[in-house]
Amino acid sequence: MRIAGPGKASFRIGGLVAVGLLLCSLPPTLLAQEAPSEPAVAALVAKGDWDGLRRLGRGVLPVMARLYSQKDVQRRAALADGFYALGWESPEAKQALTRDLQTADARLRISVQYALGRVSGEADVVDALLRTMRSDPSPLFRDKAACALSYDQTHLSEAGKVRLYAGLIAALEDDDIQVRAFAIQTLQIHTGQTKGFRAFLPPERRARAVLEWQKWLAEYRAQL
Amino acid sequence: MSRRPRLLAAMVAVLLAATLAAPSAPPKAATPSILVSFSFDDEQVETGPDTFTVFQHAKGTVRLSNALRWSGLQSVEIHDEPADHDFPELFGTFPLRRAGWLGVHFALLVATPDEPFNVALAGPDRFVLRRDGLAFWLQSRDGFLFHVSDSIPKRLFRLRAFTWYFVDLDVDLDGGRYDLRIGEEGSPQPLVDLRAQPNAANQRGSAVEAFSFIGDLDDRSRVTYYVDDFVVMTDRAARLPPFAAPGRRRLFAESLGDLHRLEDGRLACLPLQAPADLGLTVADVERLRAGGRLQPLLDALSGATPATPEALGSPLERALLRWREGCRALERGEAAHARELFQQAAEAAPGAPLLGMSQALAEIALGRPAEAAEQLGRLPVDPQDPRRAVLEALLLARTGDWGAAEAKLAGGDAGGGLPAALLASARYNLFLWQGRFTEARASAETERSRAGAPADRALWGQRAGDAAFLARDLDAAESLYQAALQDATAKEALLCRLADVRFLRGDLAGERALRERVYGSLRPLQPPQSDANPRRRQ
Repeated sequence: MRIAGPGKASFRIGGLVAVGLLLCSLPPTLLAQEAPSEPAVAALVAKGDWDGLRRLGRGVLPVMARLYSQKDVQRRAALADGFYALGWESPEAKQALTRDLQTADARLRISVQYALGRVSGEADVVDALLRTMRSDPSPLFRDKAACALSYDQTHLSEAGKVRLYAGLIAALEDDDIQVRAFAIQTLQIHTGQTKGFRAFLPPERRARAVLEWQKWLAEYRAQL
Repeated sequence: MSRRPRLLAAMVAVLLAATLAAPSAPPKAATPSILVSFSFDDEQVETGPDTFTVFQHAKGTVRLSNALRWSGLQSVEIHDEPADHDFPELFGTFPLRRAGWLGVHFALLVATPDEPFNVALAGPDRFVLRRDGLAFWLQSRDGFLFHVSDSIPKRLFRLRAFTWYFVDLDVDLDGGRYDLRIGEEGSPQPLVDLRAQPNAANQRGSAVEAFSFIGDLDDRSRVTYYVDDFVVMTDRAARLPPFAAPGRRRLFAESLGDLHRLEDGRLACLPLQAPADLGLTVADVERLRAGGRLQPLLDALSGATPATPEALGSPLERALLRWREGCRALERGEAAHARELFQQAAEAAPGAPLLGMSQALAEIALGRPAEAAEQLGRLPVDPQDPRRAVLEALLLARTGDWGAAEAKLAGGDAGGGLPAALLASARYNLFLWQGRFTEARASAETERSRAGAPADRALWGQRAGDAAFLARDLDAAESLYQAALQDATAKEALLCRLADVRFLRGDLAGERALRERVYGSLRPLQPPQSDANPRRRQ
């Protein structure tokens, strides 16, 4: 993000404006240095030196994935934050992170939920996060899954977006008001619209808005 | 060569298109007012707040090209490079429009049709899909051009390399709809002729004030494309003043400083001091805190984070965020819109003192002293509250009673802190608005010497510098601005003011160097490879 002159923001401000709509917190980022090889990568991760990692290029990803499988929970969380910060697609990273999608460690699990969409645009990532948002017993993980669906699905194809929107629109009909609220928040963050849907409205009024969303989705799908 | 014939050609094209296509919101004025017009020839290539800004901080470039242009001598070439963590951008703003008709025209040629790029018009919330965000968005992907309408990317046609396309857009701002026509060089029939399309996020009354041409957001594009004859018009009367200096219609010290705030109606909201200011009870605060929502709400209200969307929070929270939105509207001079937003907030939190004050402020900004006085009369505010004194002083100043306005601000700041800062700022502004620059400077320098935090020193140093500049004491202004630079973290506004100083001294190279540190530079460079096939208008 940059400011195009005092008080005037350019195209790049879009990302900034989108941040902070849900109660999401991003993984911490620290400042830079450099290094190669496995120990060096581990040191950069430990320092949260994402710029240093970025300077090593995409070759760092398999090294990080390897480290991920060897490390304890705390360091796996730091590696997940590193994957998040880099934001590069990586099948190895996705495979490593997916193993911890149901981990009992809350810090690690949230980092994994955030990072997955930033290393993979595959359908199973969206499906897993939608499942968490709708049915995880913990409201915290449901909320953070909605955050991840809102901001971090950075590699989705248009077909992937349709899959995400279809899942969210289906969640508008959930019996749980909190799930409905997450779903409409996420839809609004992606599209700027609610089409009149409010999670707390009576069922018949919600149904009318859901119908609008379904028509919208059909039109979106027709453009693929 | 004069640019008039080319500009005229572009205007005629837009006017003809607007007439023939019978847009959904036909122009109301006999002669549309031009808000923006660039053919990228002659003197119109200086960057600045009233022309455009150029970003090219990585490998991508934005530069003038004389090989591929639709009219005149030059167009702008935008070239992106992948994996450089940035994208080039040609960006600009024009006077905000929320109602009526807006016409936009530009010529576009793509050298690399398979590479993605984006063109957009947006409002004060910029390039996000929401009200006051994206209004019109063209994007290319996999060789096709799309427009994003109703939040859906809709395919238009397959792009052909090295072919000029002519984009004509008629925007019905009230209805949130647009007509889009795209013609192709050499073809009498338009390739695209769409009517009454929902705008990008399907939002009625969504404001527009910015344009942007970029590569891609995913850092994968190697696009090269060209833009020429960019025009934005409105049906509302808009008399833009002539350029006072390169790239700006007002000197920076005037447009960025406080000199014109009162006459422009660009007033800043009074500060939030306690949750009760907004009608939040102790129980409300506890409930919000227990739900983890208090800090995000306070952050949004203070402007530290963006306001949350409508779907979030309770009706009261959403109403309070309307207040914040109103404050932003007021600061950019949209007082009528701000008043509506304050009214909506006040309906959800009746009796909240700060909402009443904000409504009074909006009336002052609108130049409606009777309505402002009525609002003030209803305020349940502690008479000792310095915010009330400031409001009353503003109202008196608006009616020209400067002496009474100054009297309202006398004393009341012995305790220091926020009240003192508020009163000091108001006193400084009163001096400035009366043209008493020496006193304004003295008051600012006094505050600067008292300030502890670097940010406060920078602010007061900048204000002292503005007062010196307005008194045309350029040596003092430069010295004060330079000193403020040492304390400031965001330096752009001070660099701009230093550019003003250089301009008035006749040092045009120095002025350009400083201005271009903020707004970038648009210059011709070596012909790019894609210019190997020059084409000219027949």
